[in-house]
Amino acid sequence: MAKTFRVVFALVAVLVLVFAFSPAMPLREKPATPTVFAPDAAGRLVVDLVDDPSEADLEAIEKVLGADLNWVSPLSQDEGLAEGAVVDLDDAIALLAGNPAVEAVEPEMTMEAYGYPNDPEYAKQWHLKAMGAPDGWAQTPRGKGVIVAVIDTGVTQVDDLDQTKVLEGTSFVTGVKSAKDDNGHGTHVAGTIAQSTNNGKGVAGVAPDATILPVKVLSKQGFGTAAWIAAGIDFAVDEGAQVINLSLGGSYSSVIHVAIKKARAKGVIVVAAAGNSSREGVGYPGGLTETIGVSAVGPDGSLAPYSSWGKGVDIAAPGGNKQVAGGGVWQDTIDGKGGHAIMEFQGTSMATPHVAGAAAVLLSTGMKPDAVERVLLESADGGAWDPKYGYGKLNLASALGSSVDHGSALRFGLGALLAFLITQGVGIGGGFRGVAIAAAGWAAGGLFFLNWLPLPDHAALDLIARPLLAWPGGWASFPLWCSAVLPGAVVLSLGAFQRTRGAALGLTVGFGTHLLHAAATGALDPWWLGSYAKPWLVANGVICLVLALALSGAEKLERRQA
Amino acid sequence: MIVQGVLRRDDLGPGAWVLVADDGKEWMLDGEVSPELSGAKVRAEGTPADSFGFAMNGGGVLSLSTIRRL
Repeated sequence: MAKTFRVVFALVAVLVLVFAFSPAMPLREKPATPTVFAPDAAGRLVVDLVDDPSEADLEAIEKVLGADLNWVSPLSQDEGLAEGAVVDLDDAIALLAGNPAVEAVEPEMTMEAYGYPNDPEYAKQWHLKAMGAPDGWAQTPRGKGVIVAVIDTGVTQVDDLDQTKVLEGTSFVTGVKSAKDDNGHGTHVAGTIAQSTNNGKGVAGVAPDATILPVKVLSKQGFGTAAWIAAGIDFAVDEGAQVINLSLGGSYSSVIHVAIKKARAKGVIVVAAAGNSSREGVGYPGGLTETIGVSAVGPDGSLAPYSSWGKGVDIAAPGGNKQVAGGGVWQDTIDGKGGHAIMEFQGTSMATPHVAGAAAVLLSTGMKPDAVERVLLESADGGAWDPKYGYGKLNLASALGSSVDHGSALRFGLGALLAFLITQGVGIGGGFRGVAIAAAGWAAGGLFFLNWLPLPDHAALDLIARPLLAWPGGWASFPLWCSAVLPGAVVLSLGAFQRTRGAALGLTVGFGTHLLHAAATGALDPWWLGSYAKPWLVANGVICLVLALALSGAEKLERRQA
Repeated sequence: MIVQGVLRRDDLGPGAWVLVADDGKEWMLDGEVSPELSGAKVRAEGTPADSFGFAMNGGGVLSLSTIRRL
């Protein structure tokens, strides 16, 4: 009888899984076939050199082609990926055929990306990868509901801010009524924070679902008075900003200091640039204790040559170094000719919005401002405080992993409670129930409390501290990971044996709890599914719970028979 | 005040004009500057200002009245 039940149960489980992935489910359309430019014409070429090439290797290829090539991004030099325009793609490919220094060569393709994000120029944004922005996109509401004030030269809603919520804002610059940007600096800063991401155009931002509040306090030439800036900070606080970005500086001003103190008293996080003096001595307001002072690093992670450093630096973030090809910070901004362009800027001005965006991401997970500030600094890559890097280099992935977020604790409790109720409902107690509750708690919220303990920094501990759906690497963006597939496999394997059935039940309940919690809070977003993401999460969460109920029934039946 | 020196374009943000005075002091220029003057020896007239900006190079700010090539 038990054997028969196992077979029936396995069939039911398979049917449930088949149902989960039947055509009726709202799967995203397959990506379009890549479009290749006509090769018998001028165009852009991608060359994959053998790994770890030198600049001389690249120059040799340039000589062969008679064309200028650049590394696709500073991070792609190790892999030898270069690109550039050539007069004739056919001829260029033929010239490199059989070249031992070249692993592959092809025309640059325009594809619909089958990955995240699909912004075509995202590859250039080494700075977002360096600070862990992809983990923020995968694991959080990406700044949703958080207002970030960009107190700067204004913000213009350029093409690649098309899906970003940008408020009307205001201007404190004498004679300028609009908060629109007339310089380019503020729009670039706003892009780093909340560039429209995965919209199939341009580039990406750290917290794309955050709301931008433009506050113009710097003139077209990029200068403003202390009074304008103080008024801008007061305005931002009154308008509900939770994060203030100050990519500006000068000498000490008591009126700005008072405005920042008021903002801090209301729980607003204030992030400010350290300055670009290339020497020791941090400017103001970046040097105030009430602000998070940000120095800048380049693609290699070392202090950028222009960055100020010293007392007042709290954290370092990517600000770019244009001495390295492609080593600036890339965002969409106005071009001064009435249009816009993806432009490469550098400065502690560019480093600051990476931190402001990270703060918005953390706030959107439900963390309190004080905790956000603490976690940002504690999770930064570094050891003791250092005059160049403060508490270290910004690492959002680590911040998300090390943060004791309230969602984890809540999910842990919910998962454990559901496992208790399910086992209670069928009258199963003892060790089976204990294992099920523990497994459910972990699968739903991870052993989040490990982050409170003075344990060594070890990758295995980090994995245990997180639930499966929050494992690093952006897995949670993938619909199949955010589904009943994994619990289904667990049920079919561990669930088939009485000794491991308690763990299988718990893991399934916990996973389902996480999916349902994510659907309710928007904490996970399998982007490929677009507007079907929430139904997908709910459906798969319910499937998990149904599987768990079936397992508990199987256990009860076997116990009766025994 | 009048400052004479060499005009430089700092590659910070969208760019910032810096006048390196003959005495070595650096002035960030707040005002319209023709790109043609980049690298030239110039004579700038203006008022020192306690302004804030995105250039943040640690120098003073000169609110420009006029600037011309020497």
